[in-house]
Amino acid sequence: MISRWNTRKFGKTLSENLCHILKEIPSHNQILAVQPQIVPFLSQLISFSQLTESTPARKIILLDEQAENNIRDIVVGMEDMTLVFIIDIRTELIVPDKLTRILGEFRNHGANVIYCTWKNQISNRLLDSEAEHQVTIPHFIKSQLKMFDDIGLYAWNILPVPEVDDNLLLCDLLFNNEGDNMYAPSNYSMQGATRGILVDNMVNCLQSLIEETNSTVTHTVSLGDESKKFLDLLHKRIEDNTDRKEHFIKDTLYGEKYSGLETDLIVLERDMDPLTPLLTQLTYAGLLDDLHEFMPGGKLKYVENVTLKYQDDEIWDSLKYMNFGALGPMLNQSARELQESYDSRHKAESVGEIRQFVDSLGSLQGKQKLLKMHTSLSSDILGDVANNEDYNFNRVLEIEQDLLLQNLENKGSYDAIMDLNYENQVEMRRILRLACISSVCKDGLRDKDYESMKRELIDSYGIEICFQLQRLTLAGLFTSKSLIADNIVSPFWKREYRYISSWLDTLPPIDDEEGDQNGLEGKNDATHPKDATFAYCGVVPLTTRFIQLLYDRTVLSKNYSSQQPFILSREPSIAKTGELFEQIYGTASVAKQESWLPPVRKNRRRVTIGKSDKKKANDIAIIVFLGGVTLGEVSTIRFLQDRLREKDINKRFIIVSDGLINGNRTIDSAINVKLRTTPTDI
Amino acid sequence: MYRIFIFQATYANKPMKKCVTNKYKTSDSRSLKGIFNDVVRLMVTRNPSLNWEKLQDVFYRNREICTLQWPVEEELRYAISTTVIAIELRDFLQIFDYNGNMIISIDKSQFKNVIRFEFDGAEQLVVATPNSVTVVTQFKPLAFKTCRLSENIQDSIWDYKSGLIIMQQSQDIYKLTGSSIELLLKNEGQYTLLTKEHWNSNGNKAILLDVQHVYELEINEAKMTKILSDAQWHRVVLSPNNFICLFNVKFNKLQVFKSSSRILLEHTLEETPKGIKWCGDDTIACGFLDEIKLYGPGNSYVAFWFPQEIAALHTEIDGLKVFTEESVQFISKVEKHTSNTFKIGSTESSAILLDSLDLLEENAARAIENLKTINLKQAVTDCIEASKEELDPQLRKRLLSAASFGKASLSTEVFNSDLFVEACSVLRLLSLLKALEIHLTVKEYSTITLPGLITILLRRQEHYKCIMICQAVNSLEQLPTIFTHWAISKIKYSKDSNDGELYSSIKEQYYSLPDHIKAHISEIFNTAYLEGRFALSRNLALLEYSPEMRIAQLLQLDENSMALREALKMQCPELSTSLIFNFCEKLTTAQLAKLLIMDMPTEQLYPYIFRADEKLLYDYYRQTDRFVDLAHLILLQSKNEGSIRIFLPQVQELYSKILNNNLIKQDTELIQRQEKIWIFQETLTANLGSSFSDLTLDQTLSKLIEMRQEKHTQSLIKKFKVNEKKFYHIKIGALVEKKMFNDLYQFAISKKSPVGYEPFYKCLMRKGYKGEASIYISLISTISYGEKIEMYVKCKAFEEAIQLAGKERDIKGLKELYKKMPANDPQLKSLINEYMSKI
Repeated sequence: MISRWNTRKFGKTLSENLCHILKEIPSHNQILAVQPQIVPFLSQLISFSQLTESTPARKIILLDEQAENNIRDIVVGMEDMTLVFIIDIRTELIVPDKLTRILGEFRNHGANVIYCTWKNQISNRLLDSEAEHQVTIPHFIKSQLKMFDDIGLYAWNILPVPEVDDNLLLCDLLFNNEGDNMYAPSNYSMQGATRGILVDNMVNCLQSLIEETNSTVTHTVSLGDESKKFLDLLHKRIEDNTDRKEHFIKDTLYGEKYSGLETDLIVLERDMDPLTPLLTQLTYAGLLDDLHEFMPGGKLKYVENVTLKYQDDEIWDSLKYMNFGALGPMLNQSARELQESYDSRHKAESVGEIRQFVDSLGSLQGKQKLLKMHTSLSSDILGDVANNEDYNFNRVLEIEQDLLLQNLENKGSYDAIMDLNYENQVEMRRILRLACISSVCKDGLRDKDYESMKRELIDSYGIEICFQLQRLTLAGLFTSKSLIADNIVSPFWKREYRYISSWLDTLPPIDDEEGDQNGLEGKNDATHPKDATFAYCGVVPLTTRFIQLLYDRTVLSKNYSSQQPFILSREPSIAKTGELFEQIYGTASVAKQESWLPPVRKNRRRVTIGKSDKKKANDIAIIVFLGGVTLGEVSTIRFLQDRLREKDINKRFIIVSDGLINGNRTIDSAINVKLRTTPTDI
Repeated sequence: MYRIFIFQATYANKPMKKCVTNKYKTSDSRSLKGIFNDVVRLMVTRNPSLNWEKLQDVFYRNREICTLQWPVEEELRYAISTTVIAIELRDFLQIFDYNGNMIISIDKSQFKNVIRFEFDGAEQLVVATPNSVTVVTQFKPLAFKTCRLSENIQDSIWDYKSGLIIMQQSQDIYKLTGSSIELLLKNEGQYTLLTKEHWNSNGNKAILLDVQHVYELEINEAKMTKILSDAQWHRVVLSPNNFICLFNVKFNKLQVFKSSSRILLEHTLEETPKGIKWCGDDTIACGFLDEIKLYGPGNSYVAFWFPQEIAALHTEIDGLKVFTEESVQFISKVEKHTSNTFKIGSTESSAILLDSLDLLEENAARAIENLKTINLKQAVTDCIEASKEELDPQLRKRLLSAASFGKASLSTEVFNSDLFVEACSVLRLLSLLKALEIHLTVKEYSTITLPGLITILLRRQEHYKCIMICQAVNSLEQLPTIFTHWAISKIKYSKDSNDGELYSSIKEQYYSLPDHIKAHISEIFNTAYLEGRFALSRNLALLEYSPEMRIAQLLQLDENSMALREALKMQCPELSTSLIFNFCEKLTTAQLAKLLIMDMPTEQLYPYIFRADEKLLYDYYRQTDRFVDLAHLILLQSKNEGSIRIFLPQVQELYSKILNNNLIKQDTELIQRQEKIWIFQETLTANLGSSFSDLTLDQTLSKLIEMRQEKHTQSLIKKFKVNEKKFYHIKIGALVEKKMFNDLYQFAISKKSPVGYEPFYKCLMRKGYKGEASIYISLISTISYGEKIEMYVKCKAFEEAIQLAGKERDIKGLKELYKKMPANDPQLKSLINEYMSKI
């Protein structure tokens, strides 16, 4: 069974499924009422005009305040329209009010609801049992719409689509429709329930992906409690769903005579590394996300008319993971090349060559447009970064670095942060981020620093943020040492960051040996970085180092312990890392490794008979992030992939996560959407 | 003593082969015909074509299936199905299998007057009495389903055939649907049937022989048409695919047609046959005393003779079963592939292949040569199909060996071996069935299908045989059905066992099912539930592997708590949500709350689902004493109402109920501090006239500074311990905002600024007051000379810049300044020159 991970196909499969469902609904004229939150997702799969052409859908409206008026207008004109709703309540669990009201008003126009779900979602079987007239409990959507009889419920099985990159699959589950973070909700006591919903959906997502691509996972590693739960649940559900034929195939390929095929599954959760999202990102994509916020479909929330599609836009694809410093020269080079291509028309001598040029004119013009867009975007960013007082970019970056390197002792770091607060220029969220970074790095602030910081912040921003700070404290991001000692708050790490950073070499010293000239050195560093430090201010994200140590122990052997059981390994292994994890997290059992190959019978050994063509075939390694992934981490993982390939470990890292997270979103999660003040509020 | 030699003719010019010899004694009492039969039987194992009869261009043959002693009594009523025979003997209806073993004996007395009995398509025995039709659904133990005529029908049943009922008086036609008798067609004097032989039906159509005419009834459409007028016929037989055979007793005339316009066959027989039946679905057979004659077009016929008298005939889908007094025989058509293979002198590929197999032992090279000359694929396919037609295991093996031999030379693209594997599998199954006393041919088996066969055996409670069959075919999908049936029967009929015993035996069998074959427990559960065995049903519910069915079953038992726990175990929040919604409908609020508190104390799914309903959340949190969540809720409310101030006392009160939590304590203190701030602000508002409410502390301070309220400012700073650095920044900001530049300067020089002087400069520059900003540059101590010059230039304070440069004796800098200076200012130019000359 060869696994196919052509992620670009997923979008097409989804749009075909949707059209199929729409055609199944028994009606010839449909009004589609779409929930506003799904619109970006939907529009990247299929355009609205395509929908109206290939399916019975005639009109498409949004399910917002104007929906009732719009429907009324349409229905006046055409009588026999059927209402079809498309909703996504995987994280919500409750049907939007609007839907119920519209159904009540337009009763005689039929009621059909297409809801987003996963192929293996257990609750969908309730609908099947009902169809077969077995005694069962009603599906939760039906229960909420029970006052309307014969609602047609149609399940649209979702797959995550690649965003930003072929190997980054985002499920858009991290934030529910109200904007609450499902991994760290604003109401701390609900965290268990929301995490349960998140884990269930992610497990179903992985199961659908594994089935869609015909893969079999062989080696798994989990880091964290939720991750462990995730893997156990996934394993159980896959086992339950295997029928005899599949079991037989698995036994043959992965049993005693092992074919050598390998698919890794690594699960990480946000709580393992809370520091990275708080840091300022320095890659092109990271900066765009920090400043303008990415939305599904390659659009930016705070910038209009910009769509970044990596499939069509070469420039974006090559620049997205680079450090911003490298952008200028690269754009310059692209511009020069473009100019040369234009100029080549002067060199054309024969009619054929001229015709060639004219043919390529379209693509050249397209490229020029893209180049223009990127140039303006990057100059905007440059403007914000260099000059905007609200950001005070360089100063904040410097403080971050100092905190990470522990260059300042307690008073120094406190003063640095509070100075920003006194000056009253930088926005509140940045200051809170720095406070959290400081607390996390120091494993809890000193009591008096904590209390005075809290008081000063309330004085500046009002009593409402007291509750936001309380939530951040409970999450472990902003705490004091005594709260930790009292067990009111459980910290993420048991040691200060400087120990962890030295063990895992997350702050590698910059070698001054390469390149003497200033300009050249800068250029070399940015476009061809030596280590994965380019995404943040000289620090390698902890998660990247964790993934690295599963395959490549050079990082540990440098600083932590030179006695490593292996240096390079094709299978991910946590051998002999128990002590390290115990030092960091307090218990060695936070990391768990499991092989999902079928067990061999007693007294028999597994023999690998398949010879994998190391030069060409890439093993798939699926990395799951629960709680969100930052674009900086994505770029460093890509970098890691290239480094490993140089050392003959050929992996293709596919990152599956529930959503994108960055500093602002982390801070915003701590307070309910309704209570949030606007970002630029002083 | 006689010895008989049998020679086999081969197709090529080879000498005849001696095959088999037998010794017979002259004193043997067998008659000559008997010896002949033996010889034929022996020869048939070599080549079955020896007993074929040819009708036109098709061959028919007669083979024995098994021996069976038919009861001797005259004029027995009987019914025959593919697997069993039902015979009415004295007071009992007895059902036997083909080998004569009795399966069950039904007491006739419960039927009063049996008009007729027969087997339906699913091999269930249907017994018709004057006012009801009973279907025997299960043999061991006996279970019936009776459909009675409804009371308003005054008539009684006259005859029943293949699901159709004809009434006594009116001769209306009724149909037996699954559970009732429905009117199909009313007669109203249209036709009169004289005897029970004057009509027949095959499930799709019925033919009625009226005195004058012949009617055809389309059952599905309930439409009757007259197909022949002025025709007298006395007997009619329908074939499974709607061929009609009519017989006139007076003239012994036989007519066969499908549609009345075209008569396919017409014969005049010498004598009246005892029985007329279809052989297969396309040939009509007439049974006489000890002979069966098959008729073809153009007055042709073939005859099969039997040593004993014929007792009964039964039409099968692929032939005719003949029940003589001592055996069961089977007359069937010889299919093309069999005739290709076995016909004497056949030069078809399959015959050559078969011979090549024999040749293989002596002359392997020759045999393989033969393979090259024939159409190998056709040969192999024919051999496989022929093997399925044979009943003798020896012949089957030979044919399959030949097929295997030929197949070895074919690649998988040309020939798909699945055909071969399937044939082997089916034949293996049929041999097993023969050992289990069920005699089927391949075609009959494919009509009944495996599930049908399982159903037939389950009706006799023969579970083990079913399992053997499933294993023989390697098709384990039927195992759940068998298991369910077994468990249900066990529960229904073991009145003495207690729940525990039943449960342990059912569980044992359940776990012995192979992996990945899963059986649903729901039917077994239902049976146990209806029998009132609640403990058993609860245990069974937990055995169910599918979570949603498990939960549904537990709910049926009113085990809400267990159902909720099972749902939570699945870790599927959507399932739990569905269950919770179900509870919301079924249970009262109090019951629901109790359930949630007991089973979901830490799991907060319920508040999450109902997070939009504030009142519900409020009640829930109050009941469960969740103070922090209540506080959170109150805060959200405050956003709707406007100011947070009204609600904070409530929050404080809630916090006070939480003990031993330093974080809450700190926050409580902060809230109290805020309260003090608000009170302070109120006094300010009262004293100073303008509103200070809804401002943060910093904003309050800023405003006071703008209003030049020194005393209040100082008291604010002292009371709320405002940091000096913060105070400086706020003051700078406020003063610049109000353009109070003099105050700013006074403030700057009054004391050494703890924040340095750069903030002054920066703030002024931000607001665009460049001139003012330049004043402070000289005060800044932390910056370098170069930076100062730059800042002066930015402020356009060239004079100061020149002065500074001059002081530092920086000629280069002066030159730079000269360039940057605005052109139309001669004063500055002269100043520069002055300085430059000094240096």
